[in-house]
Amino acid sequence: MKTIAFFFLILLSIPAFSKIGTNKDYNIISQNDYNSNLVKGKDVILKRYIVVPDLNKNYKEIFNENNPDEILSMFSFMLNKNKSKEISQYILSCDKSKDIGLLISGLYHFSNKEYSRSIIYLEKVQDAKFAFLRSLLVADCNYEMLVDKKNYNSILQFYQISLDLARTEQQKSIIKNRIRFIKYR
Amino acid sequence: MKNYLISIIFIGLLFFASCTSTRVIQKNMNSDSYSLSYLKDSKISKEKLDFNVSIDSVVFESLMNDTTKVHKLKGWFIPLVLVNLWNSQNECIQGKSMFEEDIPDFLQASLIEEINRSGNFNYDSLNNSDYQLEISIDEIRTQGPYESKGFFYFAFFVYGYSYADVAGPATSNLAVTYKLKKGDSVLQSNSFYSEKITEQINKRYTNTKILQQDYAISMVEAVSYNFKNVIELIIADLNDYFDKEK
Repeated sequence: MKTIAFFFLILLSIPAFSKIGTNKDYNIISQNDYNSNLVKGKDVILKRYIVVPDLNKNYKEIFNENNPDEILSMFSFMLNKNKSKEISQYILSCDKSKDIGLLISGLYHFSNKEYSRSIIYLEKVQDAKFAFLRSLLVADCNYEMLVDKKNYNSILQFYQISLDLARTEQQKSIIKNRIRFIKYR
Repeated sequence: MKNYLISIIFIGLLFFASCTSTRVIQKNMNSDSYSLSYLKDSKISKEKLDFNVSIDSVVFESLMNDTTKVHKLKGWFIPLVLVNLWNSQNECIQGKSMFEEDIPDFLQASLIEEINRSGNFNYDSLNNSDYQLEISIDEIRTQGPYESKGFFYFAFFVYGYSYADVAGPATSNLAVTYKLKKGDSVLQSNSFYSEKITEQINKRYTNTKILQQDYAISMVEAVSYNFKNVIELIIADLNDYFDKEK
């Protein structure tokens, strides 16, 4: 009985190990959790984080939500926990004529490692509020599409754009750690 | 007798597997080259003054080795009856082969990019301007320790061992002098120095080759940091000069 309970617990905890959807190369995390990891001395250099303002666990409300910030935080939570069924449902229904719909679609394809499709959506995002996140995702997509990851000089310009868009020390730190990851990979 | 022989062979194998030789460290640190490129975070200059500057020359007469050298400082192996100890201390001196780029070309290209980004003056690629820059790299040196140590003990059927390689911290120094000239007269000159100490790499690497390559990357990263620092200082100094001249 104990063994069954143990395996059941493991099965329940599998989604919690997910990074960003099914993409294990990146982690999606809230700004507060990223700062907390920094303070605790957890590895933020050799792990790649997609840092979003917040993760909202009331993700089931996303279908009735219109606020772009809330949609982003709910969808990010879904990616973090790999709620694949709800993710697919929302992607089918979301309005891709709006910036948040395009950003969400970009994140969705990123989470499936469909980097060229992700860029198609991300490049259409105009809202300055998402400029940093958008530019970082575009840079990461370009890096992932490199055939030879050691030959990364050609894509540094994309991370330079992100660094120039960075407004906070946290954002600057994310970009600098990305470069260290790329160099030490 | 047979068991004794097996033990001796086992200890020998363990020793040779654990204590990393100078030759192997040198080979692994020279196995690849790494880029000096870096991201710029200086303030972008929105307004340019009406001064044009070209780069006349970048002089680099360095004593830097072509390849990275590793010298053994000291090393010992104590084969006691029940315990064996070993320690090897080496010094790694960076060579040019660690860099993907040619150093003077890299400095010139990075300087031009920084002028275009944060300079309050313009870069003249046609060399038709009144102002010329002469740059010389006076010092570029990176070196640091590499230590390999461990022990092995055994008593009849009980044995245990531990070994670790520790790389760094390495110290990287860069000194660059610039002269701003108009014709034959030197209008402004200054020297800038930058030093960066790398982090010690002492995590438990299962593969010492990766540790040695990461050590090489950390050395190149330190040189890259120094170039960024010195170039920003040169541009800030030139900005001050042209601000006074306007």
